[in-house]
Amino acid sequence: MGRLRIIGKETNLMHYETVQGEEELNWIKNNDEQTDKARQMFQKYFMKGWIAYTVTHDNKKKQIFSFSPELEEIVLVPIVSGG
Amino acid sequence: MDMSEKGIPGYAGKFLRVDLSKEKLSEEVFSEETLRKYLGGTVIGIRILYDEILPSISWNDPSNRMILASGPLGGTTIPGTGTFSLVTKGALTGGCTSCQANGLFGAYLKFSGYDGVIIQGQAKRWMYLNIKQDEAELRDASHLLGRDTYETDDIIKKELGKREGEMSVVSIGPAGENLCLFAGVFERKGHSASHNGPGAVLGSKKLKAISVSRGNKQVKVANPDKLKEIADNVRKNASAYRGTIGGVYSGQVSGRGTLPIKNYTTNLWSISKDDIEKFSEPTMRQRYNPKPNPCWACPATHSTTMTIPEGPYAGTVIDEPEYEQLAAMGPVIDIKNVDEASMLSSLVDKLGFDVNEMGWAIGWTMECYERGLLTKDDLNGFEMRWGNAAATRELLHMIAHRQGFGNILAEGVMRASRKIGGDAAEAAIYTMKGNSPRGHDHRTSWGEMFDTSVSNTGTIETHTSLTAQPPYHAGAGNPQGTAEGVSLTKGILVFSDSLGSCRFPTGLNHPLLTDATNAVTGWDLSYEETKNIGLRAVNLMKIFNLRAGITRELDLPSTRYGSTPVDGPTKGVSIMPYWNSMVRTYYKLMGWDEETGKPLPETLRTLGLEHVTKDIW
Repeated sequence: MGRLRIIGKETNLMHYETVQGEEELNWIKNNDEQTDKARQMFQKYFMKGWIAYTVTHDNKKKQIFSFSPELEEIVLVPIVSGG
Repeated sequence: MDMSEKGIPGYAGKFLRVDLSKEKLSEEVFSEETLRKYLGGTVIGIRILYDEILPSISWNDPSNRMILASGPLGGTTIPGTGTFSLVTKGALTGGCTSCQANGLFGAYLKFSGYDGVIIQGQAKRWMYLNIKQDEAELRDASHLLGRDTYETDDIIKKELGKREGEMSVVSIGPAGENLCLFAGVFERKGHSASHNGPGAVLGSKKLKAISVSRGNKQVKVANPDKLKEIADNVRKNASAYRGTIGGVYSGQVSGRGTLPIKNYTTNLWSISKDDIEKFSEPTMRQRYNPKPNPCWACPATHSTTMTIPEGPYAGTVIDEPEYEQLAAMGPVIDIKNVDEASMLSSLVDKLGFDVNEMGWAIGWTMECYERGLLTKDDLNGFEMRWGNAAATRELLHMIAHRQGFGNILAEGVMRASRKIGGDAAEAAIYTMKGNSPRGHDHRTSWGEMFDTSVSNTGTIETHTSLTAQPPYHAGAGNPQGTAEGVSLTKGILVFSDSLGSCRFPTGLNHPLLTDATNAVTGWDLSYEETKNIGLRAVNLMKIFNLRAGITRELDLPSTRYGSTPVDGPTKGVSIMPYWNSMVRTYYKLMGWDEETGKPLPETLRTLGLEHVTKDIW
């Protein structure tokens, strides 16, 4: 089963003081309905500029640029930027 | 294929090279292959700096370069694409620096037929560079000496017969003329590229200003429909953006401990409800009578000209102060009167300083005075108590002209504190490379402290998405997560800074910026490729800096910068016990040698930089 975590969902872009909230979505890789939903969710936040990374079983993080149902865990976090 | 032959979409087609020693101007063209690999702005600037100067030279050596460049998005319909990047060997760290200023300059440069300007040499007399469509000239600047950045802008436009909007002027103030190490470069009254002393570099070259007229060349776009769709989206976001002017207010009321207070001696600011309310965005906009002064194609409520309405500074016209200006001239030095903080932040711009370094320098001076480490005699008769705006105002002028104690502070906070020595040396906020951080209390924002301390440029080199999340945000959490977060996101910010676009309206949206680049140029760069473009510059800077003697021992905050808060939400929590292991993790994840930080041959090969491997291995 894969897991998609969306951290800081209520974030107001550019104001990191307001980072809060977390949403989680799970999928089973052979379940088309679940993977489609996860893919759509991934795409929605990724195209807003959120950073996506995957966490492997040995707790290594790697930035990713597209959704794959094969991944064990994907985390999406908002950009926090400075001038 | 080169730019002039085929006209690569997104590019004006040439760079202007200015040799001040020989008073010679020439044009240069980069191949499409080079541009696809180095894009523009920061990344192409770093490539030029790396290729053309010895890392061991001093920042004021005539052979030092300054590259001011737009990028493929510059001058398009995307809001905020008048931004330019500036690259040079910085005066504070002696390493690479890259910083950006928004406004109009980058767009006007492209409309005049140039993607960038490469400045080298040292003029025999003070000059300014005037760029017109497809041509440029060096002009005498002796009448501009001593003029502040606002006055310089006005005088040049007047003598060249240009009205506001017809020309963009980039200039240095007295701080740059007098080689203050934290002097910045200013565009159109208040937009600054100021980290790491680029104003001192221009001063050393005796170049007072660069003016560029708004030419009539259009930026060629490969896919106008796609660009329009992207620009419309960005415009929608930008329209809702109201700037950072209210940041001091929100920082105080949030209670999260990110506001920098009294030189890090406390994390709690004692200020009345009435006084802090005057720092809020709605109140400032209501009181200060803002007049729009927008950057290129940008609808954001962010860039305005304001007037201080009352009190001793009534009638003073200022550029809308951003968060960091009000933080540096407000809580850092305990000035609670927003009119005083605004006046001082504007004066810092006019004299031509980096406001962050100035805040830490004044804050350090005030703390030393209050503790008896500096006396009234040391300070030329000034009582530098917390919150003394009048004395600060005088001291700013003394620093700009290197008079009295101002001559010590003109060297920046690290060098000044070391000169005084003793307990005073322990009270200064800086990184061991010699620059100082942006205007926050980073002891509650580990990602930014770590990034600032290990970066090549002297300021942030990535955004801190991962480390800004709870619980890391509170500063008490995850040192390894901080190091991972900084390394994982490295490259995207630098890619953004290669495009000629402002960070605010695009929100550093990496897919959007990649799609926009492809829409303009007609290329098919992947998201991974554009991140690697940024990483290419990060690795070149790292090698340059290592060769300049900026080694692992300098990837460290000063004692006070890395100190343990005595109060506030992270009271008693320190990042320092974890620092060495964090640096090791960061180096490893960046593909660098864990002990020395040298980029590994395999890393360089992956980024197409195998040709520089021999420079460090």
